[in-house]
Formats: sequence, structure tokens, C-alpha cells
Amino acid sequence: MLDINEMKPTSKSVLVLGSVSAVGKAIAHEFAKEGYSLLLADIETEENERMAKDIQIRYRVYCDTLFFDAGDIGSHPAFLNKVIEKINGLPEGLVICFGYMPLQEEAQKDFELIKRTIDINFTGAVSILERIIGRFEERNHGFAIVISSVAGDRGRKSNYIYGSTKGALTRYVEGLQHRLSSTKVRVLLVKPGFMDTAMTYGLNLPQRLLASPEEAGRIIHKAWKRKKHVVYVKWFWQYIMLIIQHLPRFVFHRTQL
Amino acid sequence: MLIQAEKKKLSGWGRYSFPESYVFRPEKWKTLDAVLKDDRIPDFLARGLGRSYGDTALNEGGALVNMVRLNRFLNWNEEDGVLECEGGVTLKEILEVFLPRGWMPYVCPGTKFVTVGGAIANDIHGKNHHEEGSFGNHVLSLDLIIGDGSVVRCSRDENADLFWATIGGIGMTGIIRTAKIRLKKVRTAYFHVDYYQARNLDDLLEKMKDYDVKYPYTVAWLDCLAQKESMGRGILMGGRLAEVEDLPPRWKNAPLTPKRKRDITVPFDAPSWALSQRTVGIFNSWYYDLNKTRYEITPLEKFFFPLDRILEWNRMYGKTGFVQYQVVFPGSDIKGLKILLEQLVSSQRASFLTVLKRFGPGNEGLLSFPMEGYTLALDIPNHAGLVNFIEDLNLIVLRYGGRLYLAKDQLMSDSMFRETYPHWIQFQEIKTKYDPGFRFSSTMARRIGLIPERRRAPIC
Repeated sequence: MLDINEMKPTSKSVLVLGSVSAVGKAIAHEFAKEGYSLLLADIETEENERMAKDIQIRYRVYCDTLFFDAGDIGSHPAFLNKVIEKINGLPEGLVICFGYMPLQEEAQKDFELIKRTIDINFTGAVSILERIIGRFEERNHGFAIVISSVAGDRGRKSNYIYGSTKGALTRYVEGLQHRLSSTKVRVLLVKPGFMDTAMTYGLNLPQRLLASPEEAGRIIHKAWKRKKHVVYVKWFWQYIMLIIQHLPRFVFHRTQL
Repeated sequence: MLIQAEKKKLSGWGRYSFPESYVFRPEKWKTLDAVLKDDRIPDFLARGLGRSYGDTALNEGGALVNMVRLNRFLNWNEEDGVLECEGGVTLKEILEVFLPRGWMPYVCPGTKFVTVGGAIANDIHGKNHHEEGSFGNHVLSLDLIIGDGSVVRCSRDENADLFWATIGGIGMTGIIRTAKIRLKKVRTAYFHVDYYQARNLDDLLEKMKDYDVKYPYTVAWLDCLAQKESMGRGILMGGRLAEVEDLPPRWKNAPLTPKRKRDITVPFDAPSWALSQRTVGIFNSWYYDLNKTRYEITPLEKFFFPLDRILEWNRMYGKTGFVQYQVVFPGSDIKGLKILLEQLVSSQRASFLTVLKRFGPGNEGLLSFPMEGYTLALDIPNHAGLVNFIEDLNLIVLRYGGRLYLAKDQLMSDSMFRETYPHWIQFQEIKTKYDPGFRFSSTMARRIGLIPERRRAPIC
């Protein structure tokens, strides 16, 4: 039997950025189940290594790790070189799962938190996508899955710092999809609502609205297989957000959303 | 850094009481460390999937650390079957990943919805106890977070005192971050099961001796409503792992991957009469008559976990919940067992699941439950007079030198605990050595006097 530690990456490979997040983990597991080689990139090296070990044992696929700091865009070119070195080329696809959500009240008092949110959620994501997607376009092959958020669909007082970075990311991905529409490169925009993760734990959100990370992973993976452009997690968020987006301002401003 | 917690009312699987505590659910080791440093919290207790029946996994007014998101496999050696994993890994996951490769846990209880951490903390047992002992027998080492937040490795050779206090130690020695356990090599995922329809208790016990020699896995289901000369009638099951040759042709191609049936969920709390004496009586007669003396080849999961297909089956007992009661009487003397059974039968308190098994020798776990002798498990709906009834049973247990399983207990007094678990004194010494500030505590441990009353104010 082949030693899992000596497995070689295959061309069916996915780079997961922000792999230590609950959603990152769930999506990584979905791809591993399908036999994909995985490269997990995260700022938390030790956790990431445990994630990788777990995937190697469970699915007997190639799974390696790299240190990655989304907010440090200066490090991105060198990071991408390391990716190419590790898996002998560009991956078939990438998944962007990293994100940062400050508490709204604290962010309003501290611009450093706001800057950090923008740097990670928007600038960091765009930096990686811009550096890689052109090469996908050239070879006319590849995919990206980008986790945005329903929070980006309309600015709300309770969470507009985080929401605006995700809103910008949504617009960016829409543009990317337009640009790539005549190629075979696909970009899936994911808009999760509440997910049952460390980010939301303890906020006493209604159970019914929560998606478990595993559920989210399955929904996202299925949407990717079906070549969708946008997917809400779970589906009803599309309608919730439709209503919120179309509330007349005089009504909307009276809500505590 | 303070980590978010949820204030929650949780119960054991018996849904007997719902005390309130703060619940943390760390997903990373760093978060787990930060949680345990939170000074607002008087004390902590690790919790897995909450399948312990009583208050073992509850910590009223303190904090629970839900471990289910720390569920990673960290090392696997295909040669010797040694698995290293985090405490939140479940037996279900182990079976999903390793059974198709020909490995399974040495000890499977009646449900696969248990974590490795919980299996160790309760030193759980299964149908093969007379041959292969309890879960702790197959644990090689543990990485434990102790009172001061540091991590101590313990095994039979290294910090052995801590190791044997942790096996069955109901979480009082710390938090099991990782464990190294041995898995068992199997050729198929099927069991050859022999059924014997026993007329009464004597018939059953006689045959059980026979079965215990012939089969590595044995258990008996009893009809607790059958009276007089039929008292203790039941179905004895003896099982062994099937070989590929034993399988019918349609299963031979994929001997390690049986088809799974869909799960059913109990969608609401059943009315209190759903499991009444009458309905249980009908079920018992039907089940007894159904299982004539015969044999079958059956998927392993069906043999081990018949109830797992019915998710949330504890709701069958209705809103008031139920109490599980499991006793072991030492040695081969069946007097205590017989008297206890008589008491149960004459009370006509229908126990839906009455299970009898003979244990092999116990291990060195200071608070480990199994010891050589007969063990009987009942579940009793929480109806009027329950507490008195259990007190009557307790008298029999005490008189015949038995003891109760902590993973199921809800009502035992501190004096009974101390009398029946004489190693509690050694346990306390070890506890004080590794957790002098009593950072780990639980509703049960305080109730049975395993640790002193909480000195700090409860947080909720």
C-alpha cells in the first residue's frame, strides 16, 4: 500500500486559501472525497498541518500546506511561486475562504480594524485572483470559488464594514465572470448567510437559518459541479436578501437590521 | 482574548434535567487554550455528543467545552492499526473511514454517536467485554490538558497514575486533546449472529456460559415484564465477525462496505403513554416471538447499533425523560441479579431495553465500571415513584457488592458512590496533583462527592 506521506500531487488539484476556517475545511473535504490533490494555505500553520493530516488519512489523497497571509499582499507573488513549486504548476482551481469580521461597534471606533477588514476581505482576495486568473484564462482552463457574503447585498448599520468589503468582492467577482464568460474558466460566487461556525457561535442566531459547515461544503461543491455562477447558502437567503434589498429606504431605516 | 460562549440548558441523553451552563465550542487548539484561561468561569468540563444518560456530561453553573469540532485524525499506522486522533472524533467517523479498509474500534458500545474522548472518560464497554475488555484497554496514550493549562502525555509507562485516573475518570483529570488507540483488523463488515430464545433466567444464564466461550461478542435482551416461571426470558445473541466465505454471494464482492439504510428521526416528543407498560408489553412479546433460535449474517452496524437508525430515539420517552440504570454484580453469584430482576418484574415498570451481559475482568482504571460479573442495564421512564423505586434497587446493589455505571447514573448518593467505588480516595489524590485548583468539575462529580463543592460562585 502506498504511504500517504509519499503521495504525489495530480493535475486535478485545488488550492484552498483560508483552509483552517470551518467552510474552508468543509470544501477541502468535498474535493478530497473526489480524489483531488489539495494544497491548504492558511496563516495558522499548526492548525493547517493538522487539517492536512486529517485529509490525508481520511481520503488518501495528496494534501500539503503553505503559510499564507491574505492581508499581506506583498507576499502574494512569492506565495504563488511556492504553490507552483509544491504542486508542479498551477492548480486546476482555487477556493477563497479567508475572511475577517470585526465587531461593528469596535470597528467604528478603530480605523485599523476597518483597514484590516478591507485588506483581507477585498484587497487580499483581488490580489490573489488577479495574479492567478489571467493564467487560467491563458490556458483556458480552471476555476475559482469565492466566498463572499449576503452581508454584501445591502449595507446595514449592524455590519456594514464587513458587509461593504464583501459587497465590493461580489461586484469584483461579477466583473470577473463577465470577463471570463467566453472562456472555459469558471468562477463561482458564494453568498453564505449565517453559518454555524466560530464566527457566529454564541450570537444566539435562529437555528433554522444556520447552515452547518458540512452542509455548506456540500451545497457549494454541488453548485460548482453544476457550473452555477452564484449560490446562496442556504437557498432561502436569496429570497431574504431580495426582500431586504427592495425594502423602501423609509422602511429599511426603521429596522434594526 | 475572550472566546464567545453560548448560555444553554442541556441534559444528558435521558433528558431528566436541564441545568444551565456556558458552552464553548473551540475549533482550534489555540482557542481551546484561550477558553480554559477564561477567569470568569468557575470550572470546565469536556462534552462530546451527550450520549451519557445522566449528569456525567453536565456542569451546572460552570462551562462545558463541546469537543465535536476538534475531530481530526492526526496519525494512522496501517501496519499496527494505531490511530492518533483528537478527542472529538466519533466512532461513527472511525467506522466510516476505517471499516472499508478493514479496521474497526476494539470496543463498540450500543451507539456509534460517541466521541473518543467520551469513550475514554466513561471507559465504555461493548458486547465483547468478556474477551477484549473495555475501551481503555485499547488506549495507548493520551495528551491531556490539565489544571494549569499545560499538556501532559500519559500512558501505561508515563504518568501512569494520571492515565488510569483518566480512563473512566468522567473528565475530572482534564481535557483529552488527543488519544492514541488501537484498532482491530477485520476481514468483513458483517457479523455471524446466533440467536437463542431462552425460556427464563436460568435457561438464559446457562446458555450464556456456553455462548461466552463460543463467541467473542455476546449480549442478552430480557423481557422485563415476563413473570413467574418465565421471569428473565429473553433472547441471547452470540456474534463473531464473519469471514468472506460466510457471506452470501451478493455481499462477497464488497465484504467491507455493506449498503446503508436510511435513518429515521423521531420528530417530536412522544406522548407519555407511547412507551407504557402496555406498549412495551406488546413489543416485548412480539420481539421475543420474532427471534426464534436461529442464526443470521448481518451488517456489523446493525448488530452493534440497532437504535442508531432512529435518530433522537430518546424522545420516545416523552417530555419527562427517563433514567438508565446499569449495575454490575461481582463474580459468578447471581443472587443479587435475580433479586433485582424480581424487584423490577414485580414493579411492572416497563423497561424498554433490558440488557444482560457477563463482564470479563476489569482494568486498572480507578473509576472504571466493568468488573468480572454480571451486568444488567434498564431504562425506566420518569414516572411517579421513580426515585423511591431506584432507591430500592440501590439497596440490593449495595447488599450484593455491586456498583452502578457512572455514564448512566443520575441519582446515586455520595455515600453509595464512595462505598462502591473504593478507589475514589486514590482518584482524589491524583486529581489534586494534576488539578489542584479544581478547574475541571461536573454536576455528577459534585453530586457523588468525587470532588468537593464548588468554592467559586456559579456563573449562571
